[in-house]
Amino acid sequence: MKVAIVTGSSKGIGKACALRLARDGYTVVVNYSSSDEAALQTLDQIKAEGGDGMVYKANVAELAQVKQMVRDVYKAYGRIDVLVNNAGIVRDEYLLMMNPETLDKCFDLNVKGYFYCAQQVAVKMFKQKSGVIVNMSSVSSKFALAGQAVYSATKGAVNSLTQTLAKELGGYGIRVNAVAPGFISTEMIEAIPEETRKGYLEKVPLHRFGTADEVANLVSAIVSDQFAYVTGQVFVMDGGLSL
Amino acid sequence: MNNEEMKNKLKEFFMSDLGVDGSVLNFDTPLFGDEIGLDSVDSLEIISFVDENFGVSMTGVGKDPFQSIDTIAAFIESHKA
Repeated sequence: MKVAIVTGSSKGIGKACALRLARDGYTVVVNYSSSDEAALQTLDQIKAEGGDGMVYKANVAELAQVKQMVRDVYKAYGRIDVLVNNAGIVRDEYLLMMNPETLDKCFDLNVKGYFYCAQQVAVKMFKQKSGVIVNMSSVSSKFALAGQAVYSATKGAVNSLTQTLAKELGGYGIRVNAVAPGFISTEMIEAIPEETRKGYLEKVPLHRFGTADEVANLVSAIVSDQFAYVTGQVFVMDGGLSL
Repeated sequence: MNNEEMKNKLKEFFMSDLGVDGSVLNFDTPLFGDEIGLDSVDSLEIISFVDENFGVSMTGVGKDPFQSIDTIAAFIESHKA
């Protein structure tokens, strides 16, 4: 049995990753922080497809909750093979309008949350002398969009964290990589006005938004043995947007 | 296990698993200083050992508890269930 924790996997890209990893044979921990119903639906779908796992409510921006989650998962399954650090938020504000609360909230979840989860699972993976961490970054870390200073900065931090952890943990058989998606069809994109979405599409050489399943396919490949010699990399998946 | 036994168990671990020379390792010797020369990567070994042998999590607690065998033992003592 192999076990994967996917943070923020009650919906969107996280959900697609949870479903994909379950199809790959992983027992999946569907972490979420607010929507019990959506998390249970993800787990139901996993089980309906013949997979297994659990839902676990924890705010990954809180170290104590992350510690408890990792402790409980390890107690339940005796190992943790994959961590997909995915839980995050977007709060677009222009620099001069940005308030400290936005800054704190974004860094707490998008950066500190990644640190906490990586830190806690690393101890368990260290015992196994194997494990894979995938950090969900964003093309915003490499391709500037006005109004996304905070989000871009958090994702830039994720890229640097990925590279540093790859060096720190590589000696113990733990690989750390990041995926940087561009515009992906999720509820977040659906909520954008039609006109704005058209404007975004014009910037994408492939002339379409990506899908959450496509991101999940990349995550699935990265955690597989096919990528056993790959660590510290940021995989941009943006239909050519950042070119 | 009393405090002295705990410190001896930690010292044994530092010698056998991290290759520290026992003749220069006292309970109050700075572990990450020039003399012993452990680095950040070794902290993962220490955390894992303490977790497994004493059931105490030392992740996310800062650098201070890792100063010496004395400080690690004190941390374990004060955080044992």
